[in-house]
Amino acid sequence: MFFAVAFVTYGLMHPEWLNFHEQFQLFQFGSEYLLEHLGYASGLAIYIGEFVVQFFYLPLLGAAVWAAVLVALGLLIHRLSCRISERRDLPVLPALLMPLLIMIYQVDEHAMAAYPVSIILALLAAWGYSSVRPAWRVYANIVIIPLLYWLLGYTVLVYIPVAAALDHVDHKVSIRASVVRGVVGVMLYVVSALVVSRTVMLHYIYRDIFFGYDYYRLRMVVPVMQHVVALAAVLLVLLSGLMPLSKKLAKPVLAVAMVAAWYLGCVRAFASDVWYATIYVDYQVGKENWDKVIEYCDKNPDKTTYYTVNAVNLALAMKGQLAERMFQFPQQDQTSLIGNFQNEVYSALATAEAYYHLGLVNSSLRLFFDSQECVKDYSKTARCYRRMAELFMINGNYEVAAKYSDPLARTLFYSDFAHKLEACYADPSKIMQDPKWAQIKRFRINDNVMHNTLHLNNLFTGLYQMNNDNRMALEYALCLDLLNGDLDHFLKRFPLTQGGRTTGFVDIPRAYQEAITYVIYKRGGSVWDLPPYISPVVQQDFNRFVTLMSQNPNCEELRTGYLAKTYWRYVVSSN
Amino acid sequence: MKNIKNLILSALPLALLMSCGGPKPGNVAERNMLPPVFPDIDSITIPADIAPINFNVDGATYVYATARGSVSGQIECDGEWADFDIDQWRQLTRDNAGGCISVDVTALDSAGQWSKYQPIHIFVSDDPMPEFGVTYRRIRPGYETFSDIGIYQRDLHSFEELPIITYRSIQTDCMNCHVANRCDANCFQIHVRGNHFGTIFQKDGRRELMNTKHDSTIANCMYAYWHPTGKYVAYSLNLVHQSFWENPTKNIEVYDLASDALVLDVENHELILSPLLKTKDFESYPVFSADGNYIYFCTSKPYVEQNLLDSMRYDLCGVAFDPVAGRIGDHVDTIIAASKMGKSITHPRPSYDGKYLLYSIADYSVFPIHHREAELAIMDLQTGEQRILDEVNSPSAESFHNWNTTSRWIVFSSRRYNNNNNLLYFAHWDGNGHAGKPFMLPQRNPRDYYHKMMHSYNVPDFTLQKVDLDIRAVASEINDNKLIQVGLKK
Repeated sequence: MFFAVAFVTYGLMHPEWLNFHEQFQLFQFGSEYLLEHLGYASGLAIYIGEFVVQFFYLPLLGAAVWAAVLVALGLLIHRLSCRISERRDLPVLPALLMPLLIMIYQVDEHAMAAYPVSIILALLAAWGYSSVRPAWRVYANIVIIPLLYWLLGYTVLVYIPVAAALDHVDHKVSIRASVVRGVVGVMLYVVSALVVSRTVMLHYIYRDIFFGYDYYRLRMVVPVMQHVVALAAVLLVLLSGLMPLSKKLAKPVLAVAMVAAWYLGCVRAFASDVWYATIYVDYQVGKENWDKVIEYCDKNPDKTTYYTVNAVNLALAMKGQLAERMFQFPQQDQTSLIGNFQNEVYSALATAEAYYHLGLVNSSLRLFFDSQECVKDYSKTARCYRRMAELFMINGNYEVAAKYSDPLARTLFYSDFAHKLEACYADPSKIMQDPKWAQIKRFRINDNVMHNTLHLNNLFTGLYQMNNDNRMALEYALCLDLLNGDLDHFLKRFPLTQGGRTTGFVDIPRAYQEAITYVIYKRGGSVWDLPPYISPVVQQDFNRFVTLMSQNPNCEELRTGYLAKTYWRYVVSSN
Repeated sequence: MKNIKNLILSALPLALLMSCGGPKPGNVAERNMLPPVFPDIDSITIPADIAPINFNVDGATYVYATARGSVSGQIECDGEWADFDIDQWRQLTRDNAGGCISVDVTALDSAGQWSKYQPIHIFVSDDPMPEFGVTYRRIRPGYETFSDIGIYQRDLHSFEELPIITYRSIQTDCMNCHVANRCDANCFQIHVRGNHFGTIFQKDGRRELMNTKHDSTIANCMYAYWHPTGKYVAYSLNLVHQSFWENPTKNIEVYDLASDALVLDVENHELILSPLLKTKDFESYPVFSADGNYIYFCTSKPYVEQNLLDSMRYDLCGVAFDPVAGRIGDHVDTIIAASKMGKSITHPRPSYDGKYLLYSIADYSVFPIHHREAELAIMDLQTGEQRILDEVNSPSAESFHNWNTTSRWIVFSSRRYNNNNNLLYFAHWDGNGHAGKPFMLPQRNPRDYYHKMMHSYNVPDFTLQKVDLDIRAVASEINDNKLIQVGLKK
């Protein structure tokens, strides 16, 4: 049952959570990557955590794997609590509080998957410890605790009290002696960490040494919940036997409470966190599911973020609808179309994708690189590596492209892609066999052109003039003019569309019609001055807009009605 | 007798080959060519006692290599690549200082064919390289943001690399410019940038953290060079900006929006300003002459937004410096008017014996690292003669460089490997105006190492000893923001 809940939560309700974790790591098979992780405290847990997360690439598989991990954690807690309480009849339900707590904790996207994995490993170690002979146990811990500290880091603190409790239960060591053993174990952990901090991890900050290198994505931060989760694991193992669950209503009450906790702590928390709008939309951008991006942004205007605006404009452009529909979505300014990189991973990721499709190879490369470097735990990302390998290859630098594709070749899900790239390095003519790469190669700039963010519309126009197939570039140029309110340049550029035909429209796109109508009106023209390609609907809407503006510019219809989703409203508000 | 000795010597490698555990050469084809090795090591000049010059043979699945000294000694190795024993190699180089090491290569290709190639010759200079190693910053060749950066030191007698200060040890955005005084690890400075910032000075175990920005200066102190006495550091203050190219062969253009130069009195925490180094023009990369009585620097007309960036060309100039009074001279000498030749000079580095000045020269720009045409050039300070150092340059960018303490070796960074990653190369300087063929920073498995390495090496310099920095204490001091504020010298 719990497996099903976890599976549905991640696989069906929030695949973006899986994608978020998967795309900001680059797990590689091979001894080198393993040894790299075994070179610092907590490295084994991080390694296994990354191993698990790689399966998140496929949402349903990832959800199943993750649900299985959570269930395994619950069952392990249950088995250990049965041992310690010396009762075989303990219900499983209380033990499932642990994976539930993990699910709630991990709504925080910076809580890494390695942490619950590490707790499982610590509990497994305790399980194994229970088979150590009594006479050897004290000596065994002198080896086990430093070793576990090295392999798991901080979660050795879960192992220590459980092992001490097992001493009490299995071999009738007094409670007092068990407590002493626990305290000595903690001291051993502290000493291990201090020794490590003065020797092999001399250049690591104390947080990484004492609390695990990568259990939380943000550097210098150890969230309270990390301690709560560890404490909960210990308490559930030690005290489950004391819960009064034999009473008639106890189990149903606990079950209902857990469902409520799941709903409030997980479902509602996911839904109310606007950050997940960004993560969801980016998930769809990464998959190039443009319709889903548009659909989501259309249905969730209250969850508009800097990134979603960028992404929906990209999606509209990819579907050839940018000029037709962009003002149906909230727009800020030029940065709505071309995001400014702001030292944050999502600030320019959609723009990096846009540049990729526009054929601005160097700029796309730059933004993918910079976006990746903003990943808070300094992990490298398969998604960015993939794009960078492609872009270096398109630029003809196969040696550097191979630097990025080789790690991908050592992954489970990106290796085919890497091998495809490798074939192109060996025979560059194959690049042109891929329609997208061929298109980018045709679109890219070969002259000395500087990327100037103040004159991007000129750059886009140049791209279009260099290759008239690059209609997206012309759309971006014109739409930038609109966003900048630079209607003079818009009118100069507008003839390039040849009545909308060059951008693939049968009629002049709606945003262009609105802009032209607005210009004529601003210049003192009337409805009679409108060119024939302005549709009657646009004329009618414009008349209504003008009337309402003159009567009550703040009226409901202008603020939230269909007229709020026009260029007129945008440009008037901007002024 | 001599014939017998020769017979034994020539039979020895074969006997050793036969005793090895790998595939045994059979039906060996003699190739009248040098082996296709990475890196290019034929005819390079190396110092004695350096780490093994290991190499990979392109297309080979197994390699036998025999290194034979012209004076004495012979060592062998075999495997997927040529990987010599460190101690044996160092002994061989010591035994053959002033001579040559010939390396015979027999390699098995993937088709099962053995080939024996013409020997590679490696010259071993009798000019020693007394340094422990080199220091540098490792950084991904990127744009605006960097995560896994750090300043490292590398033992040149082995393959060991040690961190000095890295992204794991300190919460900061950027760190750069580990600059030692004449390669002395007991006297150096490092800039740290970000929310927690400062310039770390460490001299004979005593450490100070300074805020080098003053109300009367345009920026923090940046590009640094120590006075030989260790009392002063010459700095330029640069408002650095980047622009980005869209064509495949160009990428980034780094330029200044403003720059001045000054001298910091490290002991008194005072900036020594001069109107000659704080003009409307841009002054950058100041360095002291070997005797400490002169400052070389680069200067350009200021950047004007309407102008093209390729109008930014730097001349090499100089001004006197009085280290006793701590005073900058009263007139500027133009030493090389590079701008009149349509060139730009940066990174001047006088040799410590005072005889030569090594510098970068490019078509324009203050930052030649991104310029493929950038080359190293040298000026004889006694005759004023200048020339491009063709023997060390490549079609790719050569940029930052430094001398070792004996002024007989230079380290420089170059993008010749892939036009993307700046790697380190070393060249011998014979003291008579000629450099030897450079060699790449040795690695145990060069092909694998450099292929997998995502970083570039920045700001390389020799270091006589291992740099010892208490990084936890530094991190604590930086986080506490306890900075000494520099003042102005009256």
